[in-house]
Amino acid sequence: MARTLICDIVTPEKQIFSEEASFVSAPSISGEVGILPLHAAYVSVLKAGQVVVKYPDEKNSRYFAISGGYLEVKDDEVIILADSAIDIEDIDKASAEESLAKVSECLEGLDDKDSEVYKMLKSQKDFLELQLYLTK
Amino acid sequence: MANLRDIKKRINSVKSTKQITHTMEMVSSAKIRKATERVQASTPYYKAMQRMLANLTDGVTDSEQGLLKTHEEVKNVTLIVIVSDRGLAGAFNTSVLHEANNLRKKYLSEGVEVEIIIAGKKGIPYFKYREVLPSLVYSDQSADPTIDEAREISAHVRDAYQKLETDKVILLYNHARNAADQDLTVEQVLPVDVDSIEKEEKESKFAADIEFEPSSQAVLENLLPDYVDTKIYHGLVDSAAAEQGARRRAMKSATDNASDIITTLQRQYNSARQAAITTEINEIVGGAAALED
Repeated sequence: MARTLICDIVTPEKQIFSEEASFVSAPSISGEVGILPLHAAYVSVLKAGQVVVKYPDEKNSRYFAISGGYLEVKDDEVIILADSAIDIEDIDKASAEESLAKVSECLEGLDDKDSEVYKMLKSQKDFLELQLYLTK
Repeated sequence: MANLRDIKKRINSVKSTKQITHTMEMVSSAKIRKATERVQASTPYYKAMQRMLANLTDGVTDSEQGLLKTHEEVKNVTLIVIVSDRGLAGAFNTSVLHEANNLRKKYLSEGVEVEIIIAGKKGIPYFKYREVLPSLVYSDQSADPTIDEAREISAHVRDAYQKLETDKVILLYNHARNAADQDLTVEQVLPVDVDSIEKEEKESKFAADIEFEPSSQAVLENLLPDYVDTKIYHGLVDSAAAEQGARRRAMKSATDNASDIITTLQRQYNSARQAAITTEINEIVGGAAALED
């Protein structure tokens, strides 16, 4: 049996995923990173995008949408700390579209583009758009 | 006899109170499980973040990073007070609020301005009565805190800290030690106190070998605000779990007290009834004796 990684995906609210994997790829802010077993200790900042986890059988993979966060690799353990994350299969297209419309409407009502509320809504909007994009 | 009826009435009223407190106890027991699960679900993230931060700040003594830097002079202090929206939870809210008020008095006597942020409805009347105006109030979420609420509070204090409007941010909440006991917890949020984390989570063996991308400074800059968010969120969920525990305990003792009162009243009722019967028999016997003469 080849060496494997333990991959955890956690958000502040809950642990989304924790299983063995042979390969993990994540969207770091300076480009996509792929992690294989025996990777050096590594910490990186992630942007919004897709996380791919390949199972040790090399056939099946799981896909997650994340809205940004951190990646930590140490001793064949990959921890992805995501601000929010969702399994792509769990994305409900209709409700995502609905919330996107709502968030966009709220955003248009705001003038102060530097305020924390604006930033928060903007990142929500980006995340919803990403979810819709990935389910296409 | 009027006395008998009065006692009966009291028994009934205590009985219905007991029913209510018993139901509340059951409801809280059910909610404890959910609240504890949420604490457990949020713990891996919090722990991983602490570990990362400890590794990052290892060797950084006095960082230029705004949130890490201690302000030389403490002139303004912000207290974040986490209480519940509902009462009937024993000393749950009072203990936090008293501690907050004591801290406030202590700082005021040192000539330090104090700003108060309240999460939970029960804090509002307490400070209103003491004529303290909280700068921010969050309510109706104590049983169901969200990360967004924590982010709002955190964004506010981070802004204030970096603009030098506040020099220290302190978080007060009840920590749920287990389902029955709560510990009053006072933690410093800002400046981020790295030393306290390092004691628990330090793994310095690896710290030097970790590669950071884009750079350790950049990661740190990103991580600190998120760490503050998480810390406040953790306080909120912990307090929510503690609230249910405190309420169950308070309601359990209320139910027990009601049972005791009912027992006492029932005895009084029985002896009053017996006295009434005895009097009646005496009267009948007396009446019959009078007729025989």
